[in-house]
Amino acid sequence: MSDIDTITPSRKRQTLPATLSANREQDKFGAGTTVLGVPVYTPPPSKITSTTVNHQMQAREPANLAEKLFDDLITLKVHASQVSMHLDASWRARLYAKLDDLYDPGSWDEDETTVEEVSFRTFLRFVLLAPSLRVQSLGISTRGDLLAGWQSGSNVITLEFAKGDRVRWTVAIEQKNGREIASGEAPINRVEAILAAFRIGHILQSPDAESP
Amino acid sequence: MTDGEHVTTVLPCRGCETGLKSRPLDWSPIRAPELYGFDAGGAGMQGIGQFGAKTMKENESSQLPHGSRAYPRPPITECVIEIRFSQEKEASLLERIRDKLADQFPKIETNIEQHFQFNIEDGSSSISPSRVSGFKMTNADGNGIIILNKFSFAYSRLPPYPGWDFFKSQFVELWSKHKSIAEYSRISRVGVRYINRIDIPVSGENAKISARDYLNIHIVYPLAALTAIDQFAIQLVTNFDDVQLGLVLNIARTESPVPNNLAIILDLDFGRTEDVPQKDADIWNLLDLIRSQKNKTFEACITDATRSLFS
Repeated sequence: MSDIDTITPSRKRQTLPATLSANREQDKFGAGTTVLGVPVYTPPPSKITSTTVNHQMQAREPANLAEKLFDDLITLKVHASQVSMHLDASWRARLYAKLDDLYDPGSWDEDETTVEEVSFRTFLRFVLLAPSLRVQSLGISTRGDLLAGWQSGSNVITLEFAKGDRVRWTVAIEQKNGREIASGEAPINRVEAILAAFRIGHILQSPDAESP
Repeated sequence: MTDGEHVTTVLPCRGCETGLKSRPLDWSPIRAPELYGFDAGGAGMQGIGQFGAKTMKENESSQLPHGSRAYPRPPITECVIEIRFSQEKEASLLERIRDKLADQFPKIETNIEQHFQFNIEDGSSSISPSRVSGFKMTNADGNGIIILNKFSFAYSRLPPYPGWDFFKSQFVELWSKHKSIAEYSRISRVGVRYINRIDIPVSGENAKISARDYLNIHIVYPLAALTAIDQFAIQLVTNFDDVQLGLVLNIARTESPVPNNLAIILDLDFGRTEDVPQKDADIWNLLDLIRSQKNKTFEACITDATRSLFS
């Protein structure tokens, strides 16, 4: 029995895409089947005795830290691929190179946390929304959220990308009257406007940094 | 607005108070761009301006010989070439093919299959042991995926789309490796599927678009009763008898990962199930034929307003 044939009549004829097959858990018991997130009519069983097939996609159990980091890194790149048509090719290549560096197992400890997928999604949506900002550096917070940072002298700006399109921001800058530190949290579509009040555009758009 | 907790979080150090460790920001210069193999080829498609022999400026599209266009930013979110077999492959054979391809596609997920059987009349049920029914294998760049199943072999390419010639050449190479392990099995279907996500910029959270502005296939509904539709899905199943191809066309509204955008999926799945070629050269010719038919259909389905979104 084919693993495809038992799902829906329409699926039987179709080429199975990888993005759909990655969500085979949805196909359990042949009910609630979706194609592209849209419910598809599933005919009632025509026989009293019916056979259904349960599919589960199991990722390999990483044998070591390097394998886990590699698998997690690929997951992030798959996410980035889905919006890559909106990203400059050279910027995307540099982002991948930076992620490669970030996930270098040579500088990683077993108890360090990797980037949460929801955080990386927020990061991607942010760079699509604020193309004038240039990311200088990437890191990972203790929460597993991706960090983007800028440094110019003793001035430091950091953004932490949280789930749900939220960004935690911090600005530490030298002013005439001494060092000022401010922080807050905002949705991605407000961050650029909030940071503009600190007049730090020259740091955020530094030619030394990267731009989508 | 000063907040000590946030300052600590934003300037992370190893061994913070949560007990977990963070990855500190690395202030060293970002490495020079590397050449990613899968981005290096294809006619007039994304990435070529940076790495390929040919260049294409932004906002420029070119006409291909078969009448379709090569777009600088094609909306393709996944394209697949799949060959399906009449006979089932044993799990051990699938594992040998997996091992052959593991160097190129090192992230491996296993598809586990389990059969449940219920008899409503007597209330009995049985569960078969779980067994391997296939593998999903992803390359290091996360944009090339092999789906290896008992009845099929498929290569899927995620964005950026490298162009047909390069995509097909990759499949040819992978097919060759597959054949070097797999025993001959009659091919029952050859299919090519292109899933496009058309991101449409909108302003405002409650913005609406008219699907008719972007698609030449749309739903006719009573405007007086239904002023707007939040979700829709259309499926057409048809045949092109002159070229012996079947088409399953799906159009659906979906969420866009791009902020302030709505998205429409245009999913074209072409395949042949009769007079299916068995020799490699004939399969390649069929793939080219499907690609040509796919391009014609895609162009017929979209409007100039749509083209402008990825031109």
